[in-house]
Amino acid sequence: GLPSPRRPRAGTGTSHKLVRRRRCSSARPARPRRNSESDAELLKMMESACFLRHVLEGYLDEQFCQVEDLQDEASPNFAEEVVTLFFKDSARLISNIEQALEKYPKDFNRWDAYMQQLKGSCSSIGASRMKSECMSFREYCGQGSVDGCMKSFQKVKREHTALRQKLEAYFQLLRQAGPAGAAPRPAK
Amino acid sequence: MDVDEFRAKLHVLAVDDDRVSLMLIEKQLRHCRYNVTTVMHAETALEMLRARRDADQFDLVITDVHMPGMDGFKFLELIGLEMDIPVIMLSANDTLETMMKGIKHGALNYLVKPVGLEQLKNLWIHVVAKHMDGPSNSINNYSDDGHHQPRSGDSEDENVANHTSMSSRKKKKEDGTREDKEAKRQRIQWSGQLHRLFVEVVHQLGIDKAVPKKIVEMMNVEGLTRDHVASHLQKYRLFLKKVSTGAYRRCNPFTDETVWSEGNSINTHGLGTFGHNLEHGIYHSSISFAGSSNSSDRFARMNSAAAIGTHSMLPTHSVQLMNQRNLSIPLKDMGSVGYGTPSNSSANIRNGSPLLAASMEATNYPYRSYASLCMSDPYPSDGNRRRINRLSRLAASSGQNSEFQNQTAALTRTTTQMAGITEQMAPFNIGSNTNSIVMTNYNSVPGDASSVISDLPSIQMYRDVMESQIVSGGDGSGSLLGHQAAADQLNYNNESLIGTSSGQNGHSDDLDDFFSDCLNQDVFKNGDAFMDGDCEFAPFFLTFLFDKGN
Repeated sequence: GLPSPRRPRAGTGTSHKLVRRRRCSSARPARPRRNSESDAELLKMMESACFLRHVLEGYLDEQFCQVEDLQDEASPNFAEEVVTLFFKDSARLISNIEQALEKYPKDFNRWDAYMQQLKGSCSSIGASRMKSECMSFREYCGQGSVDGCMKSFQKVKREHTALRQKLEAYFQLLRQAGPAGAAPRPAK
Repeated sequence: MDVDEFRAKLHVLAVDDDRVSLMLIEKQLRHCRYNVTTVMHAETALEMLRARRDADQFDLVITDVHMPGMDGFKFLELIGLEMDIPVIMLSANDTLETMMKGIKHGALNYLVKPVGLEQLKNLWIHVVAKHMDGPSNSINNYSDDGHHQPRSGDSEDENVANHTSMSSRKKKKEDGTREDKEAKRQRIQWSGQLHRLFVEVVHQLGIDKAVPKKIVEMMNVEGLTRDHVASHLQKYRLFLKKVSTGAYRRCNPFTDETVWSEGNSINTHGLGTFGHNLEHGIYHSSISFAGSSNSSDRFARMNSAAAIGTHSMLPTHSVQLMNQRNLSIPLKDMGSVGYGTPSNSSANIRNGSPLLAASMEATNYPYRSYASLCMSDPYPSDGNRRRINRLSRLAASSGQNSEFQNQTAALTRTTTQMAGITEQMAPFNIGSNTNSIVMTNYNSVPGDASSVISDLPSIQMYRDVMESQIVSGGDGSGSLLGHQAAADQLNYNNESLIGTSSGQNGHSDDLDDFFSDCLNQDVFKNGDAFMDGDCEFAPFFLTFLFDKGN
């Protein structure tokens, strides 16, 4: 988990995180603003964000919190940047695997090597569900099961898509709430 | 200064082909206050490192393992070879093999992705630790005293940090080039023990298949890099080559009666050498050891009574290694040599009678003594004359009878081994740590001669065996030579007969001088095989015979 109590890190200023959490299991909304009208909107957004975060919990692990924690004044959108990069690279990797599955039948070593890359990326951002599907695929490679690999790969793709949708929504919410909802990180 | 400030002085190079991972590690390192440079290819990283060799060099490299193009291991090797920078591996691969491989290749640490800030925060320790290898007082001061920080205040900490940054970035001119070069290069002393481990490993791998990388892995010695092994291996190979081409030289036995009977030379000065007069001329006659100074020379240490007196010659793991490998000469190679009850019994040795002399008589060796040997060479070169003189001195020096006798007994016993009677190895094991390697039996001798000495093969057989090995150039060649050299060592002390400059200057702590002398000597041209510079190399083979008694 995150260290507690958390000292404000040098250079960290306001965070765009609406939801601050020590562990990904609990959501903590940011402090709302004074204006009552925007308060209501903000609250809604934050609720959505919290909700989304809850949903995301299944998809993301502690590592994602770590990534978010790296955000600071210098790079306030760091998490989103990393995630964006992740989806770019992972899309490419998935496409490579797809081609390899077709072009190099039963080339388990090759398939495994590609999937190892993808798995590495997943673990970097804490994409836990997708990562475990990747691991599944690699196991099937180890077993030499083409069928297992094919099925598992489909799952990887599904997880990939689902995660992307959710994270896109999440960051969008954050951005929308951003300027209005910018608040100092709640003290821990 | 606190740790944060110290980290702010360090410059880290991060290498990873995965953009996401690289972005993350960069951010994390920056959070820890390190200065960070990122590259996606090891080749690029290497260029950068090379470019900064003289100035602004990185303090630490963090690299991924699996990368297209040059992978982490290769990258690691090259860094170790060319520049002495601490390297940390970082990978999603958490298998034992990969992790161990990383460490064995020289990585100071292996982090499994995703890595946390806490792990990165303390990487600076590796930088400091690395600099401790060199003679750097300020670092040592810093590290020696755990309470350094509160005690001395900021100034010394500054020195430490400055030194580190200076050392790593600038070319450490202030501290003395030589010192720092050594620190950077991590010169390695090829001690007897180390060399024997090396030889062991090389033979285990097979002389043709022994590549530095594997050797380093198998040797598993802390601080030993592939670079060290590579250069040592090169010298070793050259030596083997020289020796094998000289295999047909006539070697003369060094069986001075006095030497044998007085049991000379197996004293703290070590071992003598004696030559076998093998008509087929197995080259041996390693007389000299690099380094003349008895006390400080590593051979002196190796050949110290303590060493000789110990049973254990090799660490257990190497026992395993050797046991797996049949060092002994296959019987078939012995051809028609009749091996049976050796002609000489241990009694001969005990009585001090020259075993070899007797054997050689039996086989009509023309040379029975050193004296006659010398005389056989009417025109000794200057070098040889010097050597001959030294030999005489050595021969004349008194020693411990029993040790000498035991050594010779060991020798003969070894020849038995060499004949390929593997089964016989067992009885020769003495003590808990003995192993059944032929050569190693030498060391288990003292005090145990009775149990050790067995039948002595005829020299003829021995000779043939040696010859066949040399000719076949098989794996056994090294061991043969080692054996030969071991025998040689029996009668000589470790004084350098060749008088290498390094040796003469009291303390040859570097094999380089030694080897270069060996290689400089033109051993086989002028027929001075017996007293050649290359002889010096042979004792190294013996090094693994003699446990340092650590």
